[in-house]
Amino acid sequence: MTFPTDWEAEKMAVLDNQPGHEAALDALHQAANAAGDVHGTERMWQQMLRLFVSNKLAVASLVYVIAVVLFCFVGPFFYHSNQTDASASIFHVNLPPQKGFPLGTDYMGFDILGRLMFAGQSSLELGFLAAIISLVVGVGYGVFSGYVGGWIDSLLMRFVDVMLSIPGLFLLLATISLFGRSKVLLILVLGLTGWFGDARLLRGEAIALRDREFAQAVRAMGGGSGRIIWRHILPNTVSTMMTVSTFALAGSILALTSLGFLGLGIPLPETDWGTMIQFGSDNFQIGCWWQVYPVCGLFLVLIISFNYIGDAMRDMFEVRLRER
Amino acid sequence: MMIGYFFRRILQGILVLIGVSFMTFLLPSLMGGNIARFVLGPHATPQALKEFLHSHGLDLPFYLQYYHYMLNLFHGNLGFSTNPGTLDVSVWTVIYPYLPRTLWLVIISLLFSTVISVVIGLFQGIKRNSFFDHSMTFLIFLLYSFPAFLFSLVTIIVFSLTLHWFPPSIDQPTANGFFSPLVQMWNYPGQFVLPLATLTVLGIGGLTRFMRGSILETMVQDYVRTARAKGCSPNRVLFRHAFRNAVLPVITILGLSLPALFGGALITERIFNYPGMGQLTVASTNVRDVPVVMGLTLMVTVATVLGNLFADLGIAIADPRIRLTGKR
Repeated sequence: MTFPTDWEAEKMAVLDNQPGHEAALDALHQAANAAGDVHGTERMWQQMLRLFVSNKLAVASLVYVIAVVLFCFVGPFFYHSNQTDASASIFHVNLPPQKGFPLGTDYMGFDILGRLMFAGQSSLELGFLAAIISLVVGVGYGVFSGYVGGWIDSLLMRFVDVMLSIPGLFLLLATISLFGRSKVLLILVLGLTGWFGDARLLRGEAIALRDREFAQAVRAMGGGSGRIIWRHILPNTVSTMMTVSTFALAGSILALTSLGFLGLGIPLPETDWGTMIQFGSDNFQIGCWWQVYPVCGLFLVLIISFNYIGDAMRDMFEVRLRER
Repeated sequence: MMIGYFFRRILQGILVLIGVSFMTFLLPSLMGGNIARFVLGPHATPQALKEFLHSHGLDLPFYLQYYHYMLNLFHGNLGFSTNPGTLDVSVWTVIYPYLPRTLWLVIISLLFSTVISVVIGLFQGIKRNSFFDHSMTFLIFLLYSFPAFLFSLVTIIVFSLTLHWFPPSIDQPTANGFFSPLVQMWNYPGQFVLPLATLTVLGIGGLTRFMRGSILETMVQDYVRTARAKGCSPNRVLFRHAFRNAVLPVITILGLSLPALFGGALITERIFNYPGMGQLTVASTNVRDVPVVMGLTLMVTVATVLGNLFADLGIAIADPRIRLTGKR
């Protein structure tokens, strides 16, 4: 391993090497790895990978998620269909599955199979971006609050209490009634109303970590708060963050689909799964089952897969701690 | 001690409510003067816009606006609707008939899901790692992952469109009293089976998991071992010693599950066409009737906070450890 020759930095690095501080150690290993030293690296990741792979259902869930992503983003290159020109689609409205339309058409005459991909793109994109926003804000807010402590922490957490006591869907609708629902606004609204629970969780982690020996030692050697948070607290919350981000992704996709189902999804000419389900369920009574089953099945299995992966990850980190 | 704890807990609830009312004040004011444009439409003259802002006190400084808002709130005045259909009707008049419908829907489904999940969780805890335990865990996981709108959709497709057991929607209520939703449920129970089932299932997921964990945790406690050692029958150990202690924490979780339940009610009402708070919120969001949406948000949060408060006070009465130390 090569360390910077600077005396301060070397001391810090040695400190990062303390036992019981595996995440930071791994960060160091990775740095060393980048410098060309491969020996003894990736221990934590290997162990986690082994535990994850041993859970067959979790692997199947992951495969399904990847397949859906490929289906939505790569599928349109192989399966061409009209999804935007309503004046051309109007001639084949509500057709059952047949040659040329393998899954039938919807109330506007768009091909359902292509529609699934088209809607899936927006649903996944929006869900992903919103989850990133909520994760960044939630982790930043929670870790800051927990690290700083005192009355600032109390104040910040009272705010989270307040926001958590407003039912999420009502908060979403309230914000949408104010700002409307373009694509960008939906991302912001979903992202900025979804982070309160994450913040509370990460605050707890930060409080547990900020006074541990390694943090005190960095402080004693004159390391700043930025270094403690960035190099020592955040790497130690990586397991929490991975679990939280899986649930955040599932949560934001689910919230977006719920909105779509309530008729408040992405406005035309674009669409999302929730909007598809809404119009499909309106047409179910006149016998258009093909407008409901494919999209509901795809979406339901996706949400179940996300939840299962999240659960498996939480178990995995618990087992990892036990094995240690 | 107990009064001290109650006092602190109530004060905390009031603070949260003040915070929420500040949010329902702050959010619309983020729009600033745009709200006039919004209500009056794109063709309003600048003069009319200015008059609107003045007559609604929106040209005042921020703190004065907040002062007026809070003053109005304490007089029970939540503002006035901007929906063309109910223009300038007070928000409270608009939303009042809708409140009890959602409230009863939530309360009754909460009762159902509590009983069901306590029973399931108890048996899972006793017969740990049995076939029953594993299959229930899997079933609960599936139900837990089922989004509310998909669950109601599936139940409608199966039980009303295919089997024709229950109607797919609820008749429009004719009365607006606080207890009239209960009367309607009593008179037409068939219509409420599917919506209540949706909301019940929504609550069962988290509660059962929690109950199972709670009973497992209790069964290894010293006092349970002591009870066994002194020769209590297994049933007596379970129900006199373990069950009572295990079921207490569930009360807290009940309070915490309220926000999700109100969200679920919003979707369920929409699907079964039941004019509750959720239905009104969606309709008002569509026409961007901000005061009504904010009023509804405030009301649903008040219900959540009160629910949590009652849960905490109830558990403090039942469990002396909490009222003496303030925490577990």
